[in-house]
Amino acid sequence: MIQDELLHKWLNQSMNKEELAEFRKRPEYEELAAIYKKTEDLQGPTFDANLMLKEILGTEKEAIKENLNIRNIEEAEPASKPIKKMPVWMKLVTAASVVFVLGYLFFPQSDAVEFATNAGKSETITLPDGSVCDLQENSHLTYGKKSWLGKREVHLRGSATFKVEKGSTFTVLTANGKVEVLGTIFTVEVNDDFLNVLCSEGKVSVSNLNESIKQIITANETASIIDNRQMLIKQKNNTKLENVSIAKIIEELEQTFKIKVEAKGIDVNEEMTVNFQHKDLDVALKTAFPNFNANKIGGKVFIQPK
Amino acid sequence: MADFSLCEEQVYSKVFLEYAPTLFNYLYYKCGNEALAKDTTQEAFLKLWLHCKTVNYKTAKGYVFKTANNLLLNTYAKQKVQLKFTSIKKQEHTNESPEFILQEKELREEINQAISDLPEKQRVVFLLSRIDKKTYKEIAAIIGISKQAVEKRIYNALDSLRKVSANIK
Repeated sequence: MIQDELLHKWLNQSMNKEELAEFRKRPEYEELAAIYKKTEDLQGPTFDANLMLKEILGTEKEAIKENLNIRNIEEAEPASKPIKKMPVWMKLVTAASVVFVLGYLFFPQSDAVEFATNAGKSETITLPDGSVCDLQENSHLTYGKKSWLGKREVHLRGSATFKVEKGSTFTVLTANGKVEVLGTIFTVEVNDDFLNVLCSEGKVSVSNLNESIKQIITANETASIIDNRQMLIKQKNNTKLENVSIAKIIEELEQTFKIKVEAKGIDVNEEMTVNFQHKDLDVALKTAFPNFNANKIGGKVFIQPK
Repeated sequence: MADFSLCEEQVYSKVFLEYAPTLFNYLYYKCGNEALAKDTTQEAFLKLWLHCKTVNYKTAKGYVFKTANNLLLNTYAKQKVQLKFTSIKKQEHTNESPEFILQEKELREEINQAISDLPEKQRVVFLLSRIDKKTYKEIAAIIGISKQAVEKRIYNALDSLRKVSANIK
């Protein structure tokens, strides 16, 4: 038996197939394998770590001192069992931990780092992971210093552009929905009932707060959430509108195709989910309003019930 | 982590649960006496609890192992050790013949004997690797020797066992 790396690799199961095949050819392999097998599932006496920990923590320090002294003097005689119950002491510790836990639950942002900008002012913030945030005027951004270690998450009111370093999920939480990314550049604009996200690079996932609507957008696409339930997504050749009123759909069509659209005999407040492309007006009208007739008269489009 | 005080019960518990089982096993492999290994583990950790202000989170592991080692040196005169191991292998066949069970038992006693007969240094390293599944680097850190020394001891232990196992077969 030669003293070598191969043997240790084999013992620690870090061998590849070729090495194993080579190792098996050795004359002493059989014997080694037998030893390996016999020692594979050995188990020493059980050790109850939790019980011992309880005993140690349940002993007052003075008692420990005495206990250790006795032991040092009289080796032969087993030391008296440490006093286990210390009601007052235990109560204090319990009370302290309850306060600690409650405090943690109710003030999760006590370690919050806060930035705010006034009208006409903007600020560039570097976040702990190296990501950069350009905070526009009248905006407000916070993040938890400690919770940042676990998850990259910021709270935003107002408008900001983020350049996110690659890594775990980076989340922007707003009152109207959330934006999740892995590493990219994007702009978030948020006011009382409106969230607008423009992605400049990479991929961004936008959803409302309960995540009932969710959309991933890529470079040069925008997604907006209104009232936490309506969603507008503008992609290169496609527009997607979820739970949006007919009036808003008409507005989007007008903007995209540079035309005038008029609805006749239709309740424009009715909400719909539609998806239309930007290439052909006729196709777009058909997909947007499959239940209505669209007539082009002059430079104007009239939409009527069938 | 460095500024976490060991006097905090949470920190202490974490350290305890992380190192106490290994320390216990290490001591058991060394002296082969379950009660002594347990007492020594408890005493070392009691001392850590008592001196939580002077020991920090990073040096805690070194502190308990060193303390336990010294305690063991004080209390036990080196004697022949007899370790007892049980197999944790699940019973695959329920209708094993009595002969088979007896054979298994004998085999286990023989391997127990062979391991007990190993020199202390080889035995401790070998068992930390085989039972506790510690890496060579971890073993080196626990005992305070180099990785090369761990390799050498493992090799020697295997060699000794191989010689004995020729008879066992």
